[in-house]
Amino acid sequence: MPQLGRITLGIALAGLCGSSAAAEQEKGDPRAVLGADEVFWVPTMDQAVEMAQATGKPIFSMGYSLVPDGTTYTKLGDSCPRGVF
Amino acid sequence: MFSSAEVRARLSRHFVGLRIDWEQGRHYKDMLGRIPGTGCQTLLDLDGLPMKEFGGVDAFASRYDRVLTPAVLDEVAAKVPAKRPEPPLKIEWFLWPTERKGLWPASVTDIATYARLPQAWIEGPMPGSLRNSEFLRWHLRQFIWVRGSEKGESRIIVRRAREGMKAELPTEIAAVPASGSLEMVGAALDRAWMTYMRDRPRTARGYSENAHGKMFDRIKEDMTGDEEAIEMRAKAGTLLAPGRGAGEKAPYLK
Repeated sequence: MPQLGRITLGIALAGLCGSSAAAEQEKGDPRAVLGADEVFWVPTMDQAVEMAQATGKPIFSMGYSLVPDGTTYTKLGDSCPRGVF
Repeated sequence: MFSSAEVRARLSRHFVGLRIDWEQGRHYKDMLGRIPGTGCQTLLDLDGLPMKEFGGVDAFASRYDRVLTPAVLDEVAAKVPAKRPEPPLKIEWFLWPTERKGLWPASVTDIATYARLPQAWIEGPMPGSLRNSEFLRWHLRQFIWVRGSEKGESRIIVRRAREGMKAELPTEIAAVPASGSLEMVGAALDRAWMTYMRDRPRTARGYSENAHGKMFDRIKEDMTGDEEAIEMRAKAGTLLAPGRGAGEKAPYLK
């Protein structure tokens, strides 16, 4: 899917695999954090390789897309950023 | 964001995360073999090459029922053990590049909108706090970090992207002087993050609400429930920042 502009589409497709963070926090799971993503995300492949080699940690990459407004990803209301799922 | 705590915990402990959009995928196409797909997940070795023994490019994709499991992540972590003791974090690994060639890399606004995170612009000389690995581990994941002008006072400007925000909200959330103690700088960053989170844009559900997004049907209630819980906790001031446990103190204050 081409990146056509500045409009973003966040795909949380990975979120399909599990129960809700809210429920986990309610259950007292100390690892459950709401509103935040614990992964240490780096911006680019070059930075990822630099950190990987310094720490010995492999890289986990996640594909996402930036798409324009007016597509199937278009926002539903003003309180939502365009395209972000 | 992964809604499985078991997956999230392993990714945060044992892996370097890389969000890769189509333009970045195209930039590294020769290295990767092809452009990774949206929502697809790939495990890469220390040189950034896809681990073929773990499925290569796009090995995992929940929408295609190729689900990344804790067992797979444990296997990778055992095969590629992290260095111990853990080397210190460097702020340079996390600075979002502002020099762009065409559409690559994505703009700061785009990534901040996508990730729904406030931006932390570092201005003036690099603050000592951002050379402290424990400080970074505690605060890095709250923001999209950007190197601003190296001139002037050393401070961290916290901003939000306009997309999806209420019109009356200011773009600038805080200007944190970097000359303060770790405790002062950290507390100011926490306040700024919480301010953003209180009014964080909702996820647009244009995708999940149409036929193309039917794969989301079984988690829609979790998605909206989490969003409401996040907003409620942020407004109550009880929302936990990334990677922190309830009642946990900042390690740099111990």
